[in-house]
Amino acid sequence: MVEARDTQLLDIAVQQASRLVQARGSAFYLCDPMGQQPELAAAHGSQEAPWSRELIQRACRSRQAAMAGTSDSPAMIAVPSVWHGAVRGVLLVADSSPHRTFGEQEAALLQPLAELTAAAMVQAERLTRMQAQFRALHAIDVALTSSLELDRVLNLILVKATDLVGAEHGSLRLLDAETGELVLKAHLGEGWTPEICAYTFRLGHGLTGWVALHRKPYLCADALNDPLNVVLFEQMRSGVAVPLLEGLSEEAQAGQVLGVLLLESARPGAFEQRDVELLEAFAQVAVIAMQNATRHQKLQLLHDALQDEHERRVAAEKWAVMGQAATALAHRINNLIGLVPASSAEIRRTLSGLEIPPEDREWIDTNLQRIERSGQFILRMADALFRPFQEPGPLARFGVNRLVKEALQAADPPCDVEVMVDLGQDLPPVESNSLLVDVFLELFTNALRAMEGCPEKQLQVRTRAEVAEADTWVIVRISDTGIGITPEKATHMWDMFKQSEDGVGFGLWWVRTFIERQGGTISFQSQPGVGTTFIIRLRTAKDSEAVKA
Amino acid sequence: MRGKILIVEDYTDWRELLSGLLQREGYEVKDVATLEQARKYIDQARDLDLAILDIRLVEIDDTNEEGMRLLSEIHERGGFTRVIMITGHGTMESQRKAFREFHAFDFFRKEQFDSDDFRDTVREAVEQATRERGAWKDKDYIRGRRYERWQQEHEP
Repeated sequence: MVEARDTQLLDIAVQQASRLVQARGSAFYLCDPMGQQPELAAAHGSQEAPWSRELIQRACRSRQAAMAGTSDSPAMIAVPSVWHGAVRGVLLVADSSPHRTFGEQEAALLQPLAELTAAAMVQAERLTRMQAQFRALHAIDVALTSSLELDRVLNLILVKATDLVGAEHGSLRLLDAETGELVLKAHLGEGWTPEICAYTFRLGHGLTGWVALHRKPYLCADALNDPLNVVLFEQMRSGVAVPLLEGLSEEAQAGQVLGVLLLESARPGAFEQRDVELLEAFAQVAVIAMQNATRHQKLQLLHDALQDEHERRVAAEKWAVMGQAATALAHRINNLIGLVPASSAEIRRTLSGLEIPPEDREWIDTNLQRIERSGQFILRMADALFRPFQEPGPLARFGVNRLVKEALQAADPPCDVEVMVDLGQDLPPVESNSLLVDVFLELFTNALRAMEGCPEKQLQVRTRAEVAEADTWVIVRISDTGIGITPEKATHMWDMFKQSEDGVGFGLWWVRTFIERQGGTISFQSQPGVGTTFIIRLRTAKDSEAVKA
Repeated sequence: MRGKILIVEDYTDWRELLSGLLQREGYEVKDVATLEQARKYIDQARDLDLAILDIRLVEIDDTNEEGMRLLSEIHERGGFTRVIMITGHGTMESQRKAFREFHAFDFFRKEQFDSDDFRDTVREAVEQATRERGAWKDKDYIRGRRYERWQQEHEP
């Protein structure tokens, strides 16, 4: 309810009353419709106070002018201010002049003034209320149209609606088209426990469900005794609920119910038909805001997807350029450094036919070995470094099981390693290139290395098909019972220069780069002292048919 | 003279290493740096047993037109001539090309160059070529343009 008290209006009314009956003092008391004590709102010539409360209440009750006055007390007349049968206030006039009395004549004079005052008050109240509502609607419009995040919009709708009708409690539920349930999206007020929040209404169930089903607002004056109401909050005495309908109200029948807005108050009969109308108008704005937010959300998703795609393309282009440079560089390094071991071998060969003192031969040999070792190391490093950029050959369809078997064979596990292979039947082929076998080989080699010196040596390989994100994936799990990876090491697992004892630190980096380039993923789980499992997900070829294992 | 070999390699050090190595084995070696020089040599040379080609020189463009032309000229001159491809950047793909498209006798990677293996392979290639060259001469099919007829007779 909007509190409206136009003091200026009442000041004028009391002055006019004094003037009209030529009395020294006058006052106006507001009567609360809830039946509480009348309250002084305006006074004129206050030397005449105190005003008789008894007289005011008498006028209130009888709805007729009441008069008082004896030789000891000042003359007073109280006239009720009635509007449509309801007493809005009491106009009181007093005069303590000797022999002054008030009679029917004054009553007849004051009555129209009191009635006009009531009418003016109501109008002023209405105006104030309308202004407040207009301001509220405007604020809502601005707030809603400038906010595009759906959750924020829903919360805002509820806050504004609560303000609009002066409710203390509120909830906004959206209809889940699939389940037919009204799911809580925003709530306001006290007492919302997780259990209450989780409570959902089906269509037709409870007040909210009724509103959603009938697409009509519902005004509940006595919440505790309304058979429709499902009491979630005992202290709530009245409520109003409006449907959130897609489309304009005239065509609402055709429109869909998006949700229900329910507002409650601890006061009985807190809401009126006018609040319903106001909320219906508000619901239209709210629905538009919700739709905008939903659309915005969709656009945002689309935008994000495009952005991702764009980034992928830029990355691919960058990769291609880097690949060209890397290939040229690799070629050059191989040509230049490849000559070192080759030339060294020629020296060794030539020397073998010559007569040289043994200590000199040893010295020459040691140096040649050093040269060869360094040359070989650089070649290995160049190979590892440039492998990701290597022209991998055309994409082709591969049966993962076959590649796994090939790689296992190439890894050549020592006989003390128990190898357990569990290959899924009828896996769809993956689209990749021949380097994929090297990926498995790298992982098998790593696993075997991790198990060196461990008492129990078990290498497990498992392949399966899995449907996720509307795609079919082939999942390869490679587990070992090796030393495992410590959390410190795990954080740098995929780094380019993660140096191992005998490797050059590119292996896993390359594996990951290769797999991700082809749209797959690789991850691992490890427990130090227990073992490590690598999980590879590979994208399958489109329109692929299963390959027999 | 144990056999006639042409080396086409643009890296001077490699060219000199390979030609030195083979000369010391007693072969008659001609080394050139470009395809053009190679073609000139093939034009006037007879009885070439082995051509050693850097695959990158042959693979100038996507269609390998230049390289393929050189190869077809080599084969036209003498169907017995063997070809060994070498590469500074060996991939499965270049290896596949060497064997499938260029019908190479063997394929060597500079980054894993094993000179003993290279010697053995060259010896084998030259031996095969020499044997076939004899048959070729015996049948008076000296000119390479009769290669096709020769091929029909030898490879039904």
